[in-house]
Amino acid sequence: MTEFAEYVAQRHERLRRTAYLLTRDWATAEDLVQTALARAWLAWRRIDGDPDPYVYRIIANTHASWWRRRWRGEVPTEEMPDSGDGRDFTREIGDRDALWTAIGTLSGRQRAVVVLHYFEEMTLTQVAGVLGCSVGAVKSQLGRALARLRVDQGIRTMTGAER
Amino acid sequence: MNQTEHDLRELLAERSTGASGGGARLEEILARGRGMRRRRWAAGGTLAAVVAALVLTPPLLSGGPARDGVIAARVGEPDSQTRGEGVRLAGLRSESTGKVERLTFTPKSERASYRVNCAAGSRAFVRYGDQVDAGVCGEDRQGQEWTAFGHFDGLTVGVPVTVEVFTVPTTIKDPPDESSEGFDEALADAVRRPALWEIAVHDGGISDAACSPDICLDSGSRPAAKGERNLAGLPDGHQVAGGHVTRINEKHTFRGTVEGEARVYVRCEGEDLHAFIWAGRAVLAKSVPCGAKPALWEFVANGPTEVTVAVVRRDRLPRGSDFTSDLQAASKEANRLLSGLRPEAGYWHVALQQLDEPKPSAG
Repeated sequence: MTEFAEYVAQRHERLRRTAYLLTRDWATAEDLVQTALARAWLAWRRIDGDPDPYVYRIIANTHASWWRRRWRGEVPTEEMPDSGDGRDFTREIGDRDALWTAIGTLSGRQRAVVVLHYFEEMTLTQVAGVLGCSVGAVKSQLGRALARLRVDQGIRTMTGAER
Repeated sequence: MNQTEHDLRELLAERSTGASGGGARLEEILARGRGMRRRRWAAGGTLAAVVAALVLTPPLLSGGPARDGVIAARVGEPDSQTRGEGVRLAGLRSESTGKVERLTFTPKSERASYRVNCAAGSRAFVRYGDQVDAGVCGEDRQGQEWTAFGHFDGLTVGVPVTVEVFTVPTTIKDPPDESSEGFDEALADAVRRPALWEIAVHDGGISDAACSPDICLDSGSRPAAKGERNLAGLPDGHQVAGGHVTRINEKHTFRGTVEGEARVYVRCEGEDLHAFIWAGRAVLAKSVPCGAKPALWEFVANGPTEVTVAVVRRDRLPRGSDFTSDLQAASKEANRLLSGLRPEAGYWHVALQQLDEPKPSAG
């Protein structure tokens, strides 16, 4: 088995889970992972050391571009909302669902920061390396993401009124 | 620990275990990788090959002598190779390599195609979202200057799209892979230098027509399928004499037959070269520094015509001499200069073009 094949065998499932958290759709996640791994295969000989940062970077960037393209296509003249729609998530669905829904309102980059930091357990420095930006930029994105989750009506109810 | 962060960690772990992937599909991944490698320029290469074959077949313009590798075509009506070409959506010209340009167009259908026209020895990168194409401009086996083609799929009608494009010399080693990261890496490593190139985006398909005559020096230029002019807005023309030269500091003479308006282009890109163009062998007609745009001399003649061209390093020109405005003095200086210089390696290109249409009266 080649080095690349070994890497795919070992890492595919984990990458697929990460991709799902970014895309929120299993078919799209599989497509995203295959695209990223295909690109990694093309550049395999140029990758020094651990391929993970490179592969995660492709996944994050590819997802961001898909996200931008879908956004352009579906809502060409509007901006993504800055906050939730005001529904009382705790009444309609459970706390977890409220949080999951709120995560879905994050921008592609903010979602990538959250997933890499809280799911992949990467340090902010590692996240910055994967996303190709400064640690300060990651902190800023993460801060905005968390603020957005916290100001969400559903989350505020969950973390404030009920506790 | 912040409760929200705790919830976040648990939620992400929980939600990501929802479905079985059925294991890695290595063959699919490899097939996809091979497809990426092939896909980018396969369409362009095929189209260009077909176009080259078709273009070489039609008779040359009236009065134009048939020459191997010299392309000329009918002017006016769209011919077979351009029939699939849609209306031009956008286009831009750049005078620098290593500098990214952004082109915005509004799709009229779900598919648009692009063509990058650049001189031999250039590599073009085009990025649309996560799609990155990279191709080389140069000459194919038919002698035609190569144009890099590609297409954008999945467009939404009426929704503006911005693509990024830049060129670099092909001398860069280990070209980056065709990915968004590769695009950024190549751009970061690129050095800006003068060089003329252009990109045109057309609805649907695209052909190699309408390359500006100051870029496609020896393949000739024609209107696009919809009658659109070349991006430079220059009169179309075709080469009757010319070629690539690999030495500087010596004169090279080119002969061809022209009828009416004609022009000589000397492409010696860079900031360190200077071009001399003589009408015949003795009368200096043009003395200009080389740059992104080719040196140009326009003239009118009927019958056999001879032009002589020389390129020298700019730092060899005597300081204080006027080599551009006083052609009489420059002619003597140029002859004296060339007699004292030894030939050196250097790459430049000359094209004696017959205009296929009159120049605009204003110009």
